[in-house]
Amino acid sequence: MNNHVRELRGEHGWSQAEMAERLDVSRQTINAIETGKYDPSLPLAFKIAALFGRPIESIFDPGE
Amino acid sequence: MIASKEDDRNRRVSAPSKSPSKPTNRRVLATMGGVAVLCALPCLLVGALTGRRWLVTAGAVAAATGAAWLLCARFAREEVMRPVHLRYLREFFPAMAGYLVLIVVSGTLVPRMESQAGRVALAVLPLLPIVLLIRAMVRVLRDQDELERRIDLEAIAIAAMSTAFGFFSFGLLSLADIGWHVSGDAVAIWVMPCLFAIFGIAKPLVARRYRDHE
Repeated sequence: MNNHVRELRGEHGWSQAEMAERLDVSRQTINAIETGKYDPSLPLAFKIAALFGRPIESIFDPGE
Repeated sequence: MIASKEDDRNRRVSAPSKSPSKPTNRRVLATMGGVAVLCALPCLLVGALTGRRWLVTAGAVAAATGAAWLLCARFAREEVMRPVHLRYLREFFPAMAGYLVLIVVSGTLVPRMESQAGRVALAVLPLLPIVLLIRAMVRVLRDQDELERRIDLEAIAIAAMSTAFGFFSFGLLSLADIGWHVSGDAVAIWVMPCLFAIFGIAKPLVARRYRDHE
């Protein structure tokens, strides 16, 4: 699954640690999501979408 | 170049403050390692002087654990610990300290106790803090984030299967009567330490799968 988390985080000027704190997850989790090593669960994906104020499908796409 | 700048910024912003109120993982690991090594030295010394093998073994396990924690502290990334993990440590250390005290009390008094009921009570006494340790582990598994939980569960699965495989293999080889003479109680005692040790080795290996260049 592809995502735009890194770009959106950059737009907001947050570090991985700051974003992790806002979502109550570890920085390692944010790094793993951004690098595509880990696909978040649906509840966490919705929390990310709510944090950026965007629909979930504009952040995550299933890719090929 | 962009990634490098961003990584620099992440390092700067995620760098912990120097405030002692915010413990970092490196500081905590180094403290744990130092305390474990300091506890191991008198155990090894007293055990060697008095000829108590169990005390020497406990000292060796503590020394190895302490050395592993110090090594982890050396290579860990400096980050402020999350509240869920601080709570785990607050629950883990009193339980572990209680276990260490009770295992020494039990190991010293059991051979001198004549009553069987007394021996049973003293033998199972160190299990009480172990129950608290298990409770702390279950609580941290439930409350940490989903990736941390996945890593821990994968490491526990690897540890459980490897331990079972190892002891089963040992049992089959013992049945083949190849000249090993190890008592059943000694084998049973080592199940839990083996489980924890393999978990400790497996966890950073599993975590590597989810880590990119940081």
